[in-house]
Amino acid sequence: MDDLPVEVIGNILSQLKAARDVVVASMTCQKWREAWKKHLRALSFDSNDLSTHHGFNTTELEIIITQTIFQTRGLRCLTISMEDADEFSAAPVIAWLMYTKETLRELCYNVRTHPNINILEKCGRQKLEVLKLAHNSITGIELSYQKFPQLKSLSLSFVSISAWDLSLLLSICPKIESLALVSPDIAMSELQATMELTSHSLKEIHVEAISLDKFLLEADSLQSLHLRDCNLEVFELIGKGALRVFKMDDVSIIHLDISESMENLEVVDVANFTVVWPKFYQMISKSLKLRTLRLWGVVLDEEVEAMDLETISVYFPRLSHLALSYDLGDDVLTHCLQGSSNLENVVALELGWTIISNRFSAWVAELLERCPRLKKLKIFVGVSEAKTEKELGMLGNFTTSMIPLMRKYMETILHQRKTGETIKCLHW
Amino acid sequence: MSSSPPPSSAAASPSCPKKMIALRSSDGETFEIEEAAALQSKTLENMIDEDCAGTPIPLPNVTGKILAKVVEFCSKHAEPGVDDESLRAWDAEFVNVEQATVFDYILAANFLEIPTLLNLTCNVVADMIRGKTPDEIRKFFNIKSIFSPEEEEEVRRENHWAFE
Repeated sequence: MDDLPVEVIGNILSQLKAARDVVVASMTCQKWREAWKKHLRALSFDSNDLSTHHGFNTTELEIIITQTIFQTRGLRCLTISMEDADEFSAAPVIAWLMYTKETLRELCYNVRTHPNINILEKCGRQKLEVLKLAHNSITGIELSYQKFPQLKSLSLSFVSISAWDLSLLLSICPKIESLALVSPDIAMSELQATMELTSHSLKEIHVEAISLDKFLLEADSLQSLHLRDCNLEVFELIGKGALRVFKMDDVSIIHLDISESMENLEVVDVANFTVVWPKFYQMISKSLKLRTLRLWGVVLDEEVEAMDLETISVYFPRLSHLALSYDLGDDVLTHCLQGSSNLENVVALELGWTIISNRFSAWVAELLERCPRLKKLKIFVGVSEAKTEKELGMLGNFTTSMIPLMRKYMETILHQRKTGETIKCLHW
Repeated sequence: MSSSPPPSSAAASPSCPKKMIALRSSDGETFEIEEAAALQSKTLENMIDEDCAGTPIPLPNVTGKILAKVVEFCSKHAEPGVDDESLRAWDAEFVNVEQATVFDYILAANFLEIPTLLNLTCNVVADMIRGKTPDEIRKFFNIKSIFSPEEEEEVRRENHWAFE
């Protein structure tokens, strides 16, 4: 340990991250103190680490953070994350940002400031690669002098920003690869709530808790698209065939328009997805490389058919993970099980339903037959709070009928989920 | 069938067609490493650019025992098609060694400028330190403290909040 050069000690202290741990460790000896003062690269002030037997009030926090940051030199990663914090006053925050301006590469900041300051203007821009902001507002993006030439990852949570500024922001980040937008407060200028984002370098995007009339995303290099808890009347995606992952959780899209070849799609994972299903099936029908398909909580009616196994095996020969959860009516069962092709490469299967029915065990048994190389099976069962006798009877029948099937397979996990209660697991 | 070019030799200059680099440890052992793997080390990258003669590159600061493991690490991290999760698991196994060996890895990674290995090993040491008092840290790593009592008191006062 005595042999290690002081810069390496700086690296070790930087891996500790939490300010308290770093400060305590810096007291070990002269060399470690020097490493703390001159070679510390990362520092984190997180309310989870900071509050011990006595919490610190906002003023105390401001003092601690200021005194600590100003003892270091050349800080590259700064995290200030306070849960339920009051606002910081603007002066110390500006001081922290100005002090680290020349060297900062990563900034995570989630505390409101009073009066409001424009973090983007105050923080170091030249070297910044990762920016995570929460509970702040962004206004007045200037194309002329503001650029984030190295920014690769941007995350905005509970941030107020106009749709216009958001698209401008993307345009001043020429190397951006990852964008996360969580519950943004987007000010719209027109009557129609529209968001248009364009980026040639963007590879992954995650949008959560947003409701818009129109969302247009033009991203040639997009590989991963993940929407969660979104209501979109129109969603248009313009890409160039790089898309590999398509995930929707609790999303409703009335008009889905994807000018993207979908040839390289490897993962389709949709749960509680409201969309025009025939069009969606057609869209993914060209995805020969698909490895994972999850169609969960699909509501079927006269217009919406379930994807039958024959079609799945023909469209997706390389499929290795399949997860299906439908409400199984008799005709659905017959329709799904038509044909006799096997799903040759499926090694993991997840099946679920929300309403108990006696058909489910037949469904499971048949699917097991069709997946000759299956290694892992997960079954998700939804049981209503008020369990009627009939339901309990059916559940009992289901469990009994599963036993001989279980014996055949090495690893089987049964999840019994009661609405509103925690999941219980039964292992065989 | 002629041998195919190394996986990621986009950085290789046309005048150096060889794909294996020879390294010699401080105790005279020679090791071969694929160019793609060697490029993980900034030190080696510079040396490769400068010299294409083919003689083994001497590394006087690294013993054979450690160099063998470093070559293994770089080769694994240059392998294409390894998913993040399994690589992380492999890394965890790689550093599951005695304290003294971890320090040897750190010194080698520092000398050879291999950021992935350096960060990995420093993180291991950070985990050993976390939660310990300065006294405990000194004992654990056998560090001879050179703080005078007055110095120590002053330093402790400066950041008293961390000790409350």
